[in-house]
Amino acid sequence: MRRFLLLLLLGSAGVAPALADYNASGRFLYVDREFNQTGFTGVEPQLPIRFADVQVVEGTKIVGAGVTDGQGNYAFRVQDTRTRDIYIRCLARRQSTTALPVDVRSGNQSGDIWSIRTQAFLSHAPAQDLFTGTLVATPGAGGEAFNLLDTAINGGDYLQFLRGTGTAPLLIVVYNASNPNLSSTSGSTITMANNGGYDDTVILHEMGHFVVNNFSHTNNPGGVHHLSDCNQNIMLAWEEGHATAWGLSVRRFFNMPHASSYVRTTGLLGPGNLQFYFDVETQLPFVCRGATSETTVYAALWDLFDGPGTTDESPGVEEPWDMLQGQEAPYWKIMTQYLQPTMNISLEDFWDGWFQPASANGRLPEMISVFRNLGVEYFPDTFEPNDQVTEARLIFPSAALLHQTYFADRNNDLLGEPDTDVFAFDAAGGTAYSIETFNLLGDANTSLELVATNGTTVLASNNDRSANDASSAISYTPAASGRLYVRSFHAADYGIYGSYDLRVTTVGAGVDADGDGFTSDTDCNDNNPAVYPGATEICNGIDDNCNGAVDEGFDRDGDGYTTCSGDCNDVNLQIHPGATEICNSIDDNCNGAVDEGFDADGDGYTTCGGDCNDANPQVHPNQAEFCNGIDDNCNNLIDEDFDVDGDGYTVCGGDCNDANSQIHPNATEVCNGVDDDCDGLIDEGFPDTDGDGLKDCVDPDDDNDGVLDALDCAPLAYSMTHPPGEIAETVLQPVGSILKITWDLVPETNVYNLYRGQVAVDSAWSFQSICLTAETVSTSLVDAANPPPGYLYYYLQAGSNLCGEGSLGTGTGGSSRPETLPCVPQGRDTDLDQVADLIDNCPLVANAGQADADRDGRGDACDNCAAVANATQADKDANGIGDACQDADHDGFTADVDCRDDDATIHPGAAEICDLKDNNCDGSVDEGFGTGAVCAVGVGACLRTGTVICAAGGSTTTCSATPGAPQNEVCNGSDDDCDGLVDEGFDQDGDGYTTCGGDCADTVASVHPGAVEVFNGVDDNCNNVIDDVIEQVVVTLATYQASNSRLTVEATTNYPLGSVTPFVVGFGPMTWVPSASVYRLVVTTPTNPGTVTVTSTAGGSASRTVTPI
Amino acid sequence: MRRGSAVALVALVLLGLSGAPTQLSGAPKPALPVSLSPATIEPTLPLMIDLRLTGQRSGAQGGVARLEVSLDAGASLAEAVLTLVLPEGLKAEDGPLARGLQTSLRGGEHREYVVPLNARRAGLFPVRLHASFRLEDGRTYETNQAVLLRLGVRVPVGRSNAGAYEFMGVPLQELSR
Repeated sequence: MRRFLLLLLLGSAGVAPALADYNASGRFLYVDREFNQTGFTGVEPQLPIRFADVQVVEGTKIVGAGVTDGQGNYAFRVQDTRTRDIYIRCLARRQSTTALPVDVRSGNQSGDIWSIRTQAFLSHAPAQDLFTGTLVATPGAGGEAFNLLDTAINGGDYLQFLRGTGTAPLLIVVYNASNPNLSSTSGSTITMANNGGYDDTVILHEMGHFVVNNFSHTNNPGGVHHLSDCNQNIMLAWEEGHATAWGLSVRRFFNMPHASSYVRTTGLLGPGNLQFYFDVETQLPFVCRGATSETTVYAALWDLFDGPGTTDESPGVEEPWDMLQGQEAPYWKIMTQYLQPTMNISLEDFWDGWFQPASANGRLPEMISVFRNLGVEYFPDTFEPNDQVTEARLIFPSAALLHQTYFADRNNDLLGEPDTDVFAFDAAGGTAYSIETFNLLGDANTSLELVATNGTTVLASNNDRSANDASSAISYTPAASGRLYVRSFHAADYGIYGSYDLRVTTVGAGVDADGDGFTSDTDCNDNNPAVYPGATEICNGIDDNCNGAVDEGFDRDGDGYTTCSGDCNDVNLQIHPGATEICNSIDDNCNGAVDEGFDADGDGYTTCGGDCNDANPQVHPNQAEFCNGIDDNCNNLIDEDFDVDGDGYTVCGGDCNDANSQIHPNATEVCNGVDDDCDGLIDEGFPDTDGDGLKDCVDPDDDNDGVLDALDCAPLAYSMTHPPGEIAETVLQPVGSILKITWDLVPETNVYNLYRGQVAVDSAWSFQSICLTAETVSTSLVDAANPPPGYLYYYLQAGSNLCGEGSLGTGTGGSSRPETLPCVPQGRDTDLDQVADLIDNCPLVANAGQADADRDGRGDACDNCAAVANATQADKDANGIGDACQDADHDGFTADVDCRDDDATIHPGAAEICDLKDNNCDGSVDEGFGTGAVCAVGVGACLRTGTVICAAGGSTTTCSATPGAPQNEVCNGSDDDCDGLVDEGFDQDGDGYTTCGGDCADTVASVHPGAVEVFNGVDDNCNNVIDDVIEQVVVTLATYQASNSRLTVEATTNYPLGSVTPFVVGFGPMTWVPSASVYRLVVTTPTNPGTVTVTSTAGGSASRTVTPI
Repeated sequence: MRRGSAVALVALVLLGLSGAPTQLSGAPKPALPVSLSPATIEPTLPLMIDLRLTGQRSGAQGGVARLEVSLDAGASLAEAVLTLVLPEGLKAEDGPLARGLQTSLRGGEHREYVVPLNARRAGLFPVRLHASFRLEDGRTYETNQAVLLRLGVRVPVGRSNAGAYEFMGVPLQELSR
């Protein structure tokens, strides 16, 4: 009571923090792997993780929980009060009280649940919403587990379809890399093979066992069983065949592709990787007959459920013998009602259950059709009734096989009864007779007796012909003539039905030429040891078992052709060898060709497929229409759409552009870049200055100088595109009493105008420039004139080309410098090469051809770098070789890009090293080394800072600082001894908390901040409060029995017995029941309250839905 | 009329031995205890193959491993042909399986083979064993078994925490790249 009061006080004082909610949301997917009969297809879609638990985790505590929806999305509120380091995880677990709950566990039956998780969210604030985006479980990292979960959920939903909504036992699926490579089921636990994580049909098969274990009954002895074994234990055959049929029915129920295919893979990544497959519709490739084969069982059950619309390997087609579908309801009733109390359960019991009066499912002809096709003959044979000597059927000894079934139904109620077959024959004294059974099917474990004429004395008998042969054989020679009786009955084992062949024959002098144990009078081929009565019939075109039929069981559609005799579709009787091929896109006659004979020209189109000329392979539907006077594409139009522009000319009539009516063979050629007259020439007869094939009228750059004509002031002269630029630098150099004026060469300029002006020394400047020299071809000039006293001369220069004269520069304030007397064109030809200086790319060197290989505007005859374009003729070292052609240090980089052409270690692209130089010529020094940045050395209290500097050698840097000296460690939250550890040695109990870090008992590991508080009289979590435990109430039971209006509620609490009293809200206090260790309240109330809430005096509370009983 | 007395006797003895419920009749019940039948095993072929890798060692130039092959014949198998299929970069030392094994097995026969493997590089190596065989009745089947050899490649490992075996989820946008 003292503890309770303390909590109340804390609450009333407002010390307890208020709850702060946040939303957690996101989505979880897994990678699926689709498959077909070749194994994995390589298609790997991302599917939602449905209905799975989602948890918010802090360390080892769950602080919030929710569930994904059908699309893998989750969103739930989390109540919290503290900032925490958390993450969110999605578990391969579906919890449900109305559908099948599933756990996919790792390790073992009680192992951990597979899950995928998010990254950690550090210091998450309690009111901060959390969205985790979409996370995917991938193969090898949880994908298999979530695929198993998803498949099991589908199985659970199919189970719910069969039985309706209700609670179901937990299905535990154990998946782990250390599992065996075979899957198995025991009770409610499926252990999946280590390579079966994506084998959906395997887990569904195992779920079939789970369903039987929990909702029906089985006598399956279990263990390994082989699909090719046609003589299995009949109870095993039933249970295993049922499991396969049930599993694939799940896929059929959800219309999944290849629903009839069971596929087992090796589990490896990538397409293919098939171990084996089989098809339950056709049984292929494991074909057996009779109820002692699981392949027969699953094929029979499948035929009860499937229909033409089933997504199997032959959609839209159903076998002629399968006239049933959608029989889930009677099937489930048999499984859950008839078979539950039954013993030695096999397909025989399922048949009997079908026709039980309580079931009365009827449809006998359809059932017989389905079952007989699989060698299961649960109906009386043609000799019935012949159960006793008085009913014995008289026969005559011969080689004929008499087909029998151990199925009696004397009262015609369709339920089978143990059957005895009795025959009579008139024996001759002294003649040897052989009485034998052959071709046993479906657990027809025969036993024979030869009975004397009196009808009671047994003259001879035989149960098994040999240790491994359940057929029977009697040889007997009567001393006297008389009527004898043969009695055949089912030997005692687990089944009572089955079918077999009986033969009574005289033993003659026949020989056994092939040594197969049968003489020629009974052996239908005594030259082939593989052929004899009782041999297994295989599809080979001969009568292997001497029953008079060839390849029986291998012509299911009854069209007279077996699969081994060429029937390429044994479920469609219209398709077989010899059938008439009709034009229907199907290989009707099984010759490997489709619609042969209907495509004479071999163009891939038949006459029924629309080929309008089956003698011309170039004519057929989907063919392009050509302009050739015929209907190429079989659309009943000839050369349609070949004069689209309506100019009177078709494409095949010479119109080279059928989209433009101005273009045709008789049009006039105009200069427009188009072949107007369709003569194969474009703009013929019009000028092409640069000879590039584009006439000037359409060439955007007539002189091919790279500048569009619209922007080129000399569009027909490639060496100039705009007026000369301003002269960069002028040097005035007095030479004795004269002045030499030198200026830089201007690109695209061959001649220069030099102006001189005169201004008074003591007056303001006023430009009055007059032309001193016009169109000089030099870049220097000597002026011998001297200004008058009190004046000075100024000089201005400008280049001149076809586009005009360059600027003389601007004066103060940006105004142009006026020319009082402009220079005028001279028209000189200095080098006398017949090219005026103004446009001569080498005005001082005769070059009439104006050759300019690098097209930089400077003729080769005077270019200081003739092979490389260098319009400025830059030559930094003035050695006559242009920088663009000079690599003095032979480092592979010319002087125009090499910032140090005298140092081979320095050039563009060189590795920058830490040496205070620009090694790679990028304009930066020691970039990338971070020199000058702040740096630190030492840890803990020894930490010191400095700056980054180059280290010796230039490859690395170092810090200019020196670390401090370590001190002795004390408990202060610091690393005093600079060893990277804080307060080491001050956590004696090793619980992760030091004394100065809040550990209130450093000798007790269970006591520390954050520990879970329990009732022990100790402040476990060091919050200075002892045993402040939060009460946890759990409602363990809530039921309402309508028949007596009784509401029963049971609950538990983690508070000690007697310290609290739980109440059912609205119904009263609960009482402690020692025998059940719960608090219980039983009251009578007229209606089911739906939900009950239990509150406790210590503050705990919980609710639960009331279950009607 | 159903099973005869002899059959029922057999069933009773079996049920008594196995401890299974012996209820033989009565009204159907909505819920049943789990049947205590023996563990069931998935369908198999008459030739079961188990492959295991042991002794994996990785080095700078690849690595080595031992492939342990066990064969169990559930029926007499003739003309059994077993072929080891190895990827580029992985070789098997000479031996029966490395050369391609043609043999016959008796029903119930168990065999084991060991194949030393050498890899020229690190990586993932799918090791496959293809088998074909013929049954006594003439039917022929084939199957495969495989195992993944990892040399110098980290295996994704989960961790157990608070009742769950956790793997890091892959953000969808990373998977799309």
